[in-house]
Amino acid sequence: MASYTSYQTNFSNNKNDYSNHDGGSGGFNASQSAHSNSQSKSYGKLTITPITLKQLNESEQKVPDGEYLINNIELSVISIIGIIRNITDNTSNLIIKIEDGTGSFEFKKWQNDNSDSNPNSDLNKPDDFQVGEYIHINGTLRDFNSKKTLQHPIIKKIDDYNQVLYHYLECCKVHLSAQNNVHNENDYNHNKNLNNDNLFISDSQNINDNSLSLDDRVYNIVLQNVSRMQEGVPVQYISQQLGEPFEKISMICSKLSDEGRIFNADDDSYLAA
Amino acid sequence: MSEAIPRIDGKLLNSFKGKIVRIIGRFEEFKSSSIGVLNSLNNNGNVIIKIPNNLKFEINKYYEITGKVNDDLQIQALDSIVCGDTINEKAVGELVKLNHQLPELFY
Repeated sequence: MASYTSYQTNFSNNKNDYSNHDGGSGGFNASQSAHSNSQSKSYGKLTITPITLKQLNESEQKVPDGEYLINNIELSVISIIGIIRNITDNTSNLIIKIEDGTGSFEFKKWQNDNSDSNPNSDLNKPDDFQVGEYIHINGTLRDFNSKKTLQHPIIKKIDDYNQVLYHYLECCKVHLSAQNNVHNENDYNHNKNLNNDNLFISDSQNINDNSLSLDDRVYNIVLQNVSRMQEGVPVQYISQQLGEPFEKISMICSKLSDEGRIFNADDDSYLAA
Repeated sequence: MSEAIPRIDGKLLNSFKGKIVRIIGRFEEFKSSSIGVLNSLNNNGNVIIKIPNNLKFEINKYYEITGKVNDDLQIQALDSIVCGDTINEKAVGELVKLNHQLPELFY
């Protein structure tokens, strides 16, 4: 009975595998079924990430056979855009070299006989491509013989130049929001450490740390005291802690409040955001 | 063309003398058969484009031109891609700006 259950689990995982790669030209991959549990774990990460070719070329694997990483973004299924610079026809497959002004990348596209003539469908015949044209590619980034390759690349022609513009703006958005998340996570860990280290918060090194700007020191005091000062941290208290004039601290507090880092609890008190 | 090619507009020409750049704009007019004027959009000025024989341009169409910035701030076109009759000019402006603000993505 136990073996039957495990068979069923594997079966459903394989189904997941199949649906992940639906539309691609590849076949069954034995290693994926062997590691079907880990595969199903990363199922949630299979989002399409738009990146530039520079990011693609500079991405690195932190662990062998792991996901590629670039600037805190995990790359699995990627979306790239480029101008075709070279095509080599190897009968069964095409080697396509693209360039996008940030770098260049070469990948292999296996030819597939059963594609229809719909111009919106996946391109895979030598005649579909023309050097000097923009194309859009979705594919899974994989390591093969220490070289980056695209598994199951799906190639589409770009017929509206706005697609190029929006692709790069999306790259910027994804990149910047990933940096913000890390920043917030660091803040969170930083706060956690502060709370662990200083149960009785008085003069933590962060308050007196002169390498931090006055803004950050004010922010740290608010952060450290907010748990015990439920009504808000008084500006007067911050000014005493830092030995700075009340007006100066008051101005910094309104600036931090404008930036959304802290918010106003009462006329003279501020709580951490 | 494997090295990074920055995207610029008319205002940034001066900083990229002697370099290969990419510029998006609307083709305004022909000064002669080998010299044209490209409007670099968003009030960033017109740019003189030196056109080689193998490239063709049409007035009022948008183009992405790859070329070398000469010392006289004219661009010697090396390649061009037609972007059609209309594009989102604001997006072009933002892309050029971000190109120089995010070196980890572009160049």
